[in-house]
Amino acid sequence: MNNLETEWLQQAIHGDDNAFSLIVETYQRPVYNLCYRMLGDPQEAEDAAQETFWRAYQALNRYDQQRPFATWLLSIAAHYCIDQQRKRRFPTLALDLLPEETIPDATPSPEKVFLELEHQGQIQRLLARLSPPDRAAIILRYWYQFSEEEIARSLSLSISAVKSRLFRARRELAQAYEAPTANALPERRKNESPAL
Amino acid sequence: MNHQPYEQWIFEPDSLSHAEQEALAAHLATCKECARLRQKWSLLEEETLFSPVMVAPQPGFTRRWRNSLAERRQREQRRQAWRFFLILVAATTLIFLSLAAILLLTTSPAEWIQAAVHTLATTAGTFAAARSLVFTWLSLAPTSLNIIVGIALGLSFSILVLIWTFAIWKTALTGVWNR
Repeated sequence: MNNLETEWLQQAIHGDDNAFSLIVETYQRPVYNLCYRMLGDPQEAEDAAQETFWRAYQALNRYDQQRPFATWLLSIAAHYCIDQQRKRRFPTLALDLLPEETIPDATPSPEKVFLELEHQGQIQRLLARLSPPDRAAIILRYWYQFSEEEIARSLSLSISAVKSRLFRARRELAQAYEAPTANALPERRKNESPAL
Repeated sequence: MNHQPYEQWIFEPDSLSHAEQEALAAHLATCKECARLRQKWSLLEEETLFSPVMVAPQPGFTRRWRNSLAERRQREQRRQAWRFFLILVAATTLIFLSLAAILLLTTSPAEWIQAAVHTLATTAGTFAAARSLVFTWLSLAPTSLNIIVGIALGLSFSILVLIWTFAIWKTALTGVWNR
């Protein structure tokens, strides 16, 4: 967290809504990404990310400033998403609604778009196999490079519990993973448009 | 075949000692299951986990946050007020029920009726005495003094009502505006 963000945080703690909006602007992507990876649906991820910022806004006066703000914020998001998953019981995956930002190339070819969507879909399907706390641990480890200690603190678990969850999740992911092959694209028929 | 601790080591190759690495390599050479698991895990790490894609929300996320803030505050305020009201009702009910229970345990219904009649009679007597006192005061005191006393009493009562309303409002919103 840089000096400017610390200043915004101080202003927000003293009731400045505009300062908090700047914090929202800064952290929207990591929070939304965590919610999307956890819930697998863009609309639900949007709602969860908005709820995360609302909860953070309400709890700002309880925020321990010794702790990194991003870790605290992502911890709120992870707990909220785990609760949502427990309520929902069946994870959903809206493949047709994958966020466009997953495709970095501005003008990708249709084949590339298809492959990228397929790849993102595969990631979400793999993540959906995991229990919500295991999924949260994997996402925090690989998408946010959290250490085991940080994951433990964020998810209110012991370090040994995080280790065992990470091991279980990694094994589950590896067993379920199917490497992408050249057959991933549907075969194009003779004289068919390359636009799929 | 027992795959532990090799299965565990497959996922944490960087934390292994030289001897452990050699033991793992020897196990992988003989165990097809673990070798396949290691291969799939390496592929998954390379393809996905070492370069994870961060997805972003639709443009306008912060604007949507700002727009929802007022509504969320209002909703939370209503919820807080309801919670306060329910706690108040529950506490009052509990006090009355406790008093009733104590009365039921310590006195008989005949004693209640007697006490109620006695209280009514005393109240009526007190009211009549207060009424005669006020009328005597009004007949003796000058009119200007009566007006001043009336205004002072009215103002005091209004201020008390205002303070009471403000206290209730403030207590009901505690937690919503605690920042």
